[in-house]
Amino acid sequence: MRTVLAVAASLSVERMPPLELHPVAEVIHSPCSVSVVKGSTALDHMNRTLTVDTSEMRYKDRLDGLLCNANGRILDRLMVCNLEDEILLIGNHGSGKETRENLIQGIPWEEEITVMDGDMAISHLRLVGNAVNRCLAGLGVDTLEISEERWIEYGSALISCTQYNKSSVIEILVPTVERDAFSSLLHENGAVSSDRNRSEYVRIELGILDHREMNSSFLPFELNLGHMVNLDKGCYPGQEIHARMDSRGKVSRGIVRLSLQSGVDVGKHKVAGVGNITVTTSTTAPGGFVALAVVPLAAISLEELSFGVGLTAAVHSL
Amino acid sequence: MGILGGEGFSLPVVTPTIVVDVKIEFTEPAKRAMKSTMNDDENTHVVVISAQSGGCSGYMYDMKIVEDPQDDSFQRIDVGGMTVLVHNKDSAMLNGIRVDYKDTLMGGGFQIDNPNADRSCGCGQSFG
Repeated sequence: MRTVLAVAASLSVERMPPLELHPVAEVIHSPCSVSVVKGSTALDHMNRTLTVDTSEMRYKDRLDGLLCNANGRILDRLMVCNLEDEILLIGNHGSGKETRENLIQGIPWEEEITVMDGDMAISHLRLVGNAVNRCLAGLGVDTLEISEERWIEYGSALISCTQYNKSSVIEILVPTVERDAFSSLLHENGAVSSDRNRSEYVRIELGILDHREMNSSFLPFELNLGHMVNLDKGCYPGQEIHARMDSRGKVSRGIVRLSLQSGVDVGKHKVAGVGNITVTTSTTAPGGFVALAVVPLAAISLEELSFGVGLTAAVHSL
Repeated sequence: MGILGGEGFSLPVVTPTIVVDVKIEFTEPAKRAMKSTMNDDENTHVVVISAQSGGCSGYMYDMKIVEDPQDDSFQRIDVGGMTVLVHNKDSAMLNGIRVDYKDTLMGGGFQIDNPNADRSCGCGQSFG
């Protein structure tokens, strides 16, 4: 009986359609933490702390890096925006307080650096779709200027982009007091706002990681975040561990996307023949459910995983 | 209004600091090396030992010879006629450290053994 269920489940999983992006654009509200580091040596301070080299950042440059603990595990992911003597840090939802405490405690005695809490001050919107540039051009944004390395200004907002799973996602930072007005402008130019389920479905399908993945349960290389780790920049918290993993190839887990015929609980699962799997999120999708999971390296190349009791997941690389 | 011009930003975030009376032990080689490095400037200059973020383990040690800042935020420790300063904010992290000096070509220089550190990195320059 169990075998029959598994086969039925497998067929169902295979029929799941791929993500269909909105013909123009959809607006995804992405909860975040916001911190501001002020001072003439703020970039140097960030450089001592983050996994990326911020020392050469110019005005309005963007750099995404990680704040890790001494064990190399992720404490926060920070989108760094250099606004001269003020460094804007967009972090994971819920991580702001701990990140700010980390940043304050290591300020050298001879440097005047202040850290401010802006968690409620700035909102992070993502724009995803097949014609996001058309939507932005309708606002008067020069879309040719948008890049992953720079922030461009549009009124009070900052705009950049990130490449996720072959889709370009527009990152928009806007003062929270102006968020609704900005969203209305986007709507007037063909965008729609996504509800929570749709937002999570898009996030999973595109592999946009957030606090559910980028936390102290995982190392950067387990989440395909090696591009946010600069092993040539010198010491930062966690560097020894990262360097060892890089040189010895000791990554034992990886992140994948799963598609399933029914929901799977977030948390750890013991899968026979595979080992421990950590499901970080799961949501409904057209024709079933999708999830993100960190699995043993050997399981990444599998086509399917069986959670038992007839629940089978198709495995997709991120 | 720029991105930082809106409402909702706090005043600078402040975290409570634990201040303890710092005790530091210097070995004889460390004292001799410090004396030599001070180059007879003991009356005007001091050695500041501090901790700052970074390093593989979270915090890095720093030792600097600077003109005496005459600042009450520092604790002053007399070491064989030389003055060593530790900032109050670093006092809990640096209390009880033992400063040694190794005169070797590889891995030589001042070495700090810190009883407050849960871990230290291979090069010995950072702790956490």
